[in-house]
Amino acid sequence: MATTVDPTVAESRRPLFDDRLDTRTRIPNREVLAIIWRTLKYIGLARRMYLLKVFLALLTIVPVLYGQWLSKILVDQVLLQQPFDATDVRMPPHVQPFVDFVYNFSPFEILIALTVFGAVLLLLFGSGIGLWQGFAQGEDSATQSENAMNEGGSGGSSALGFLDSVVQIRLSQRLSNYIRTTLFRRMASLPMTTLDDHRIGDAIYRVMYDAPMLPSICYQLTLAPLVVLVNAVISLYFMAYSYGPVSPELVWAAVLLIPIGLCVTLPFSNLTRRVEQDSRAAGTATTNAIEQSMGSISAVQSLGGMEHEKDRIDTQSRESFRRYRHIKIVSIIVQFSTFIAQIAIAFWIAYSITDNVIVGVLTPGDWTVLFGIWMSLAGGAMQIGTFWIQLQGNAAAVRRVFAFIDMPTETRGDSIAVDNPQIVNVESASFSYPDGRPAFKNVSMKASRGEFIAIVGPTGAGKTTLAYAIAGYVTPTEGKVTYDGIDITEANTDSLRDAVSYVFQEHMLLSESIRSNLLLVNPVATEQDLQTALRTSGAENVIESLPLGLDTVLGRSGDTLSVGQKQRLCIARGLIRDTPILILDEPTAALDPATEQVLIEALKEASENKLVLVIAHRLSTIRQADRIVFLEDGEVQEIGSHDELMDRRGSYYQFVQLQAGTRIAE
Amino acid sequence: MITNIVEKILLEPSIAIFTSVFSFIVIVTFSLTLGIMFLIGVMPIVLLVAWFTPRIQLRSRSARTTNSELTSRIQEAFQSIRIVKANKALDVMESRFNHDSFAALDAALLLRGEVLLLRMLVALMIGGWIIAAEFIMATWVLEEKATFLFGYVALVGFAAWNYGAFQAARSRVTEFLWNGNDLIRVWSVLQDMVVGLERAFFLLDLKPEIVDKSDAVEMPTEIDSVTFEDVRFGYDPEQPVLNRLDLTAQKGTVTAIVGKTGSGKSTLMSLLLRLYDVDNGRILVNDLPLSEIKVDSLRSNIAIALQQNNLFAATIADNIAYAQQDVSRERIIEAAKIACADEFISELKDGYDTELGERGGKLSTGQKQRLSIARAVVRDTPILILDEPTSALDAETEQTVLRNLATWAQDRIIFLITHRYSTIQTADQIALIENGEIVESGSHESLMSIPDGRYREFFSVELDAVSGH
Repeated sequence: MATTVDPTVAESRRPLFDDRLDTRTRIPNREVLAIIWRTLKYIGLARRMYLLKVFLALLTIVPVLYGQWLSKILVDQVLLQQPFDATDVRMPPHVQPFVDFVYNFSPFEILIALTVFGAVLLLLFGSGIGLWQGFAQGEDSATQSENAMNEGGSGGSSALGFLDSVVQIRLSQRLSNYIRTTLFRRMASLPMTTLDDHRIGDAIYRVMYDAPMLPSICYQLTLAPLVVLVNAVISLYFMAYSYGPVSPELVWAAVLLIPIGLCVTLPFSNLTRRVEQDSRAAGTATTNAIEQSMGSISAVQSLGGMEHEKDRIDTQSRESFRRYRHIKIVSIIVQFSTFIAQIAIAFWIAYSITDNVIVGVLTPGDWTVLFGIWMSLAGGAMQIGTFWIQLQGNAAAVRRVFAFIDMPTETRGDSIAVDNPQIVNVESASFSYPDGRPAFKNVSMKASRGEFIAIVGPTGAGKTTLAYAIAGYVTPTEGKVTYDGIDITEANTDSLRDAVSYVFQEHMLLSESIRSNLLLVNPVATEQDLQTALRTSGAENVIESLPLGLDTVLGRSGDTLSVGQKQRLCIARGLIRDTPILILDEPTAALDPATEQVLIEALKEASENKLVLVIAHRLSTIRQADRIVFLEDGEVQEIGSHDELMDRRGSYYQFVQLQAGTRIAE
Repeated sequence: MITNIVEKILLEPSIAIFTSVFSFIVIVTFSLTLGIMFLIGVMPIVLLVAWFTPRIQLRSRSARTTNSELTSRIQEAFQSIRIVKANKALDVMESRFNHDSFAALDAALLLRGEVLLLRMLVALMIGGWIIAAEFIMATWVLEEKATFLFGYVALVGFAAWNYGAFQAARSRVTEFLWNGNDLIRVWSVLQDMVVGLERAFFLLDLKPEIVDKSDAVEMPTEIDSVTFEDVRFGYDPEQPVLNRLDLTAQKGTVTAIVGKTGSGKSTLMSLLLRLYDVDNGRILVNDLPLSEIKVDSLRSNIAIALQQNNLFAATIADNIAYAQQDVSRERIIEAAKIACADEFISELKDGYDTELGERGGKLSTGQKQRLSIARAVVRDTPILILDEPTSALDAETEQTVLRNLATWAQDRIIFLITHRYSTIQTADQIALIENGEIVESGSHESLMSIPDGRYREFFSVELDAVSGH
């Protein structure tokens, strides 16, 4: 045995985590910027809603701006009963009208005015403590995605905050749904050969979960910093206005807080990002492992693989949990250093303010204002420091989304329409896969309506790919396929699809009623059309055996029916669109001889005004064809009727001999 | 999810409850009136929460249901994308998708709206309480009223209400109330979690249908025969798929099971694997009823190559050696050769180390079928079931595979489910199932010799086709 490979070597070559979509754990900063720029363009899709959200979010700053100054008045003028002009500190412009109003009031009257004003602010804007959802979320992409899809919250807690949150939830939903639909449409325009590789489909399915991260990036990048920034600028302006003349060093200290906040968080950003990406990859791998075993549970059971699957999921889950712990440790370190920095700043602020109060420059009420403003500035700065980290995580998700949106799609002309074609001509066509493997070479054949043609050949001869080329699902790498002389790569896609019905080898039914499965391909089909198609495909008695008939709802992937029954329904679905060309890939493989015969008769009948192409193995099917195209190693070996080819005693003759076996001799 | 529950449901609320209790005690030391007022003030909040709780649960349930419908819709839409593409059904599919999608999104919005509404009302009440408390305490400061328990508090300088006492009491009041707010936030999220767990526990509570008897034994090591005795079974007991079915398969033979689509051929094999238990009659291995044998032991002695291909996202070698420990590369290659898979595998760039996608992407149907056969062969079991495993193979490859299998199966029992004439020829015994029972069985020759036999009729069309020239 020349190709002996040590199994342990093969084992070690396999990565434990095969999340093929997100293998790079580092995204260069430049790429993150490009992704972000592209993401922001999506906001344009819901421009008005977004502006409304911005407006509402900015309104929620209002109570924060008033709160500290009202507290100051409560302390200085009510509790300590000082006059308004005891110090040189000026009230900021937005508080001045209130001060003018209560200027000559007694402390108790001022208290009443403050209480009324506070209550009005509370009702209109809320208390400055936000409404955030905080729904539970695991490491699985499903809940993460669901939460991101419905992301929304507000810094305000009144009716304004409620409205603000609801607007944002709707905005998130709208953008996410738009991305999902785009992905789905995009997928439908991928070349058929790409779709044959199921990994692509599975991958895009997972990308659906990434889609909601896109609006999330928009918020993190625009809204949150905007609110922090507006808040900071206004607070700093009021500070400079009120305290600048009295004690300018306090204002400068406040300005310095922002870089200090950034300095505390930035050193950890790289570490956090790497740990987080590792953990996410592991989490995804675990979910994939679970999803995959669930999807093929019957196979797992019958192969005795339950223990094996349990072990596999267990290992992945353990690994995922270990990495989750890493995240937690890093985040605790970050939080702890942030906390220490905050405490240090707080001490220094408290010291310098108290100093000023003792000297008589400031009052105890100023203590509340200054302390409040400084803490909110420091908090905002630290929040901005973590934005970059969070963005990286979401950028990875959004990068996957964009990668699929950018996948090469079919290119075809849009100008010419094929209308009711009569003649299909394959002109010395060849097709090679992107990796260079040839599927078929130099095939020439001509077929017209009224013919029933079988494409025959051993496994792997290129029959399906040839049929795809005839249907226009793949474009030959050399030569061409024409309908009535029109090269179908030039033809308008819609008109091309209207010309061809294709019954695939695999049976794919949706878990809906049989009727809606059939109507999927032709929503305007009448009851009569349905019955005819069912009769032709021999599915009529399948329907009769079901108590609910056409309205029977199929289980997931149609597994309440046997393979043969599903196949008949799929054929029926292929017949519901009355197209000039009908192609069936192995339609009779899972049918018993009697049903097969009914179908073949029906197809022959249908071929009176159609071109019917059948890919088949079974002699009983092939024999009925007007012409047989015998394909071997990607090349057409012989074309002719069964009798002609049998007389020729060539490769088809040998093929038949093999299938008939020796017993035919009887 | 669990880590999240521990953090959100256990840790955070415990801290919140602890601090609230502490704050409350401090408040009472300042003023008993304030303490009592707060106890009364909490009542409407509790009532509000009680009124909202069932509503949130209801919304959560409907959000989860619509969402899981959407998920399966998306999954299916992606799986059937080729149908959609070929039939120009994108618009129909998209409108169905949008319909489900909007239902799920609306349900999610309603759930979140309900939670946010509760939180908003609670926040308003709490805000109101803080303003009220500040007002009351400020009047007390103006009156210089004595604090409750003033004798003790006097030690720290708060014998009467003053600025310092006001600040100290106010920070406790806000802390108490905002901790309450946190608890309510956790409570509302908990409702959603409870509904989620309810659904998870429902699945966990489902009992496996097939359980071992307490005195179940291992599968016999030497298997001489498998017998179906008067077997009756239906997925719906009212509609039996199999009825009064008798069949015996001897060691060293190939038994072909033939019948119309949906006649119960695959079901018969599911019974042998004990994926279901028979409704009546019994299945014997040697003389031992199936129900006496440990399920694990039984299944590890039967290999099956399925009609539908279930390959996993792993290398070809791992797919062939699936669920098997310590299978040498030699044995894998040997099995692949029997299944005629070696030829196409060695043509691949990475050979046996080629990575497959889920459901075996990249391979043709015929190639996947051959891998399924190799996978069954490598398990080296005394019983082998082939359920239409060769339907996508051309006659030549099929004949080679079957011939290889027949040689390999000298001392095994093979069941072959098929309705292809060419496949049956290698069988030693053929059983034709009709209406849930075996109507004819025997060798091909003996069955063909029955003048108006069902078997003869079954294959007459195909035979005419073949011998017609």
